[in-house]
Amino acid sequence: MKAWAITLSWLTLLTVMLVVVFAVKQPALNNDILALLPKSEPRLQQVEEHFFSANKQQLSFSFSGENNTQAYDEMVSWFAGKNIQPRFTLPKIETLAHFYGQYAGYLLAPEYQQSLREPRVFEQYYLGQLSQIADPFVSSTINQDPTLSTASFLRHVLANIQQFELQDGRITANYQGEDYLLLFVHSTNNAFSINKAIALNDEILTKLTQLESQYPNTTVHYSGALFHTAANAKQAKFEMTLFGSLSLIALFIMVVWVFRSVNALWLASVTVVSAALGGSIVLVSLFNQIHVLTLVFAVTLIGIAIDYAFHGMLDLTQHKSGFSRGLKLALALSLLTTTMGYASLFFSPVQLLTQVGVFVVAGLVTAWFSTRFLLPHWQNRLAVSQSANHLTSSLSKQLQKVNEYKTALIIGLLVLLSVFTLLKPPVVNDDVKLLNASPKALMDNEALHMTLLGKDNGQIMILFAENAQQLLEKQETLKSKINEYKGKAVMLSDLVPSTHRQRENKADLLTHQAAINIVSQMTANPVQFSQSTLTLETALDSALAPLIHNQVYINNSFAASWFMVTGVEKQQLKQWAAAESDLIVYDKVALITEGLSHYSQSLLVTLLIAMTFAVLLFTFKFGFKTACKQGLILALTLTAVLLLCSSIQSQLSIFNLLGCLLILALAIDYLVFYQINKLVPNNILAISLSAASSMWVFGMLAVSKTPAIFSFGLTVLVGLMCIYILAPLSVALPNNKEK
Amino acid sequence: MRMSIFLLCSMFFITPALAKNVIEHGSFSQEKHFKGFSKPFISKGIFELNEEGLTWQVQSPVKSTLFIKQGQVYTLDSQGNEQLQKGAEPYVSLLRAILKHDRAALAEQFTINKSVEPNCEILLPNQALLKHVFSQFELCFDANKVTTVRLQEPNENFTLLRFSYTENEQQK
Repeated sequence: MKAWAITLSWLTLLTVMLVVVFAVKQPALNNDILALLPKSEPRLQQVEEHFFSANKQQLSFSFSGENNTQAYDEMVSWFAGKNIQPRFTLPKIETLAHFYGQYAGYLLAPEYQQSLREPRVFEQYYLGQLSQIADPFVSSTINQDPTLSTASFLRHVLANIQQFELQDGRITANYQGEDYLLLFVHSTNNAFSINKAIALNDEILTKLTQLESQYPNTTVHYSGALFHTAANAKQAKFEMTLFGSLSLIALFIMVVWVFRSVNALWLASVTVVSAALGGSIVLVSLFNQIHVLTLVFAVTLIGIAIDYAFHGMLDLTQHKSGFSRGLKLALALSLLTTTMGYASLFFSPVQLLTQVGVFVVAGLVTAWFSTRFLLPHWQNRLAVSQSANHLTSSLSKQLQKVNEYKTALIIGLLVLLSVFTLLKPPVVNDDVKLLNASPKALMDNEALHMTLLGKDNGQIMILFAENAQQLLEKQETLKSKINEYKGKAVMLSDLVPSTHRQRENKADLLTHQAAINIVSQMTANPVQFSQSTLTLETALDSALAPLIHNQVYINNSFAASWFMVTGVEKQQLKQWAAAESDLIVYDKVALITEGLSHYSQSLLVTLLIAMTFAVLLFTFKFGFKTACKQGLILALTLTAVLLLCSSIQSQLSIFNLLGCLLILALAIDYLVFYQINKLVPNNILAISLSAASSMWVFGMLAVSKTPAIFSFGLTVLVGLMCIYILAPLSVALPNNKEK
Repeated sequence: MRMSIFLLCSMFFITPALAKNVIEHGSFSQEKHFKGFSKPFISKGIFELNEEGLTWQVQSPVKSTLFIKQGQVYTLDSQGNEQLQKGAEPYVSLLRAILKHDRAALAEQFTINKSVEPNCEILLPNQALLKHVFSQFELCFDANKVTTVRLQEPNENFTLLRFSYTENEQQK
């Protein structure tokens, strides 16, 4: 009864502390990986959401084959019924004509400007325009601006911004001789809660299946973040349920088989929960913003914390009153080495790793406290089963046998790993694309749509300036440069020229009075021009707004705009960006990859620091010779893990390194416990339990289809096998004389 | 959007050549009535229907050429090279319907009303693209041939096309 009261009080205390800290600090959960990157361009953080958030909600469909028109129309109606509207609805020409007509004389298309040079050329141009049997631009602007300068500007603008061919109002594209109708819709924001994403995804896929059976000769491709979210979430849910259930069942069976009681299971859970609560309390106390990846990385805590419980419980079964001296020492030493290893993360330049370090160190201290002071209260309720004892006795003998060949084994392994390294050196690849878990069909659809939209060879750039006018002028300068390189870019300044450019246009027009007189003769009236220029602020509050709103961001300190450049080499664009600090070549994938690479390097450094700390401590405690042996075992284990994983996966990722961190922590524990308690059955049972539990919880992840989880799981699986075999080799067995 | 210029031209002239498979040619005059202009702007030219399609040639006050062959619309640039104007193909069936006075086909694309003028019909476009440019078409016929077409725009401007046909050898 006392044991229950103390344990529950402890858990309640931790929970209350966490609630209090949460209430006081109210930390925000951040899930933006870019927010963790080194802040080389802080303005980018501000504009990114504004520019590209709408793309996250976009769903794209392409219809090809015999009845593509019918299928397209049916899909549009179906979406309309769900209140999901098509994107890219151009404002009516008349509306744009009326808007631009207010600035007649200030807005000139290059073609029109060229014709002004010679009155005869202008006359030909002007009469040619009027002779057209029907021209919506002339029709919609001539009453407001008989010079047709607005008509030519409007035609120029729409021809530039309209990247698609339209057929009966449907966007079309031709690729490899096949005609595609393209549909873009904007799903609602709340579609990105996991369950809603899955529901909408299922509804859409059902509709598409129905369309494909109704029109068997029609093919529909679909793409969009929603489909990826739903596919990944479904896969993750399935894996979590399957692996979670299997792990729990296996752990349950294992612990109950060893201890013949559920009390052991309860105590292991208490230790892990205490560790998680302790880690969270300190983490929330110290940080206002917690990254969601911190929690993902910090899952390694479970693997280490549960070991304390197993060692503690098994030790309690062997002694009458509390823990043995050896166990206390081993626990303290294990805590010290692992804590020092993770504490090296405190100084990481990457805040995410600092948070992981804080969480794990605090969690481990709590787990140690929980093991050290709670578990003894349960001592009389713990016992080890005979079958477990029997198994570990025979395991102990086997390990002792293996230990006799340790020199040969270690030398053999060293040679093997050296040859392996020479033949197939490990490669770390942080390309975020390798971590994509979406189904291949979805990736293919994505690629097809990028091709159909001509975006597969384009490069997004972002330009910053002090204010809106400066931004437009800078864009005009850059556009001239892009034109020189035969490239293409649709920019904000195409729709809203800078005031400077507009004044130049007007002056140019007034200079060529002879050309303007032709218009006066036709209308029998003097030509009137507007007196006011078009500003970006006015455009953002007009019928033009839907076309430009997502393209520009203005605040009190700067203005920014994005655009896509095609036809110019990325290297060239990078050169321009390097020469102009306000110009950025925006590549989200490259940015994330860069971030991951940064984390990989930090993790590698952490691994080295942790190993150094461990060896120093081993030297201090066990002597130089033993420490060297233990250091060798650690190095061999990590090398073997990295080489094997690199060989299996073709390349290593950050998740392999993360797995190594867990392996290192576990390896240090095993080495400490072996060194203190040697190859006695009880110690072997505790280490075996620890390895088996880690194997069940983390190693099982090696069968996951999600690349990141697979990498982590594989590393832990391979690492656990290596360290389980290698760790006992560090133990010096007593020679015959000592025996 | 620029396509509508060519599409509308082709709507009236391409189909007879394809449907009848005979050569037909004649002249046209085009009167453009703009609200701000003191008098209508008149241009004149010739057209020719052949087995491949149509040639539409403005001769005064400026010269320009537009032609349709095998369902594709082309213009001639300043060097006399053909420039393909993509996107016209789907309109061919619609054009045929208008010129053949195929009421069933027209009913799919237009709302057809009787005109107060004899031998004339008012066509109200149903398509958004056409609606943006024209509020209605008025087609008048004489012996199954289009004689005048009035293209009414929503902004009070309108275009009046008059055709006169030259008798050709093949029809004889």
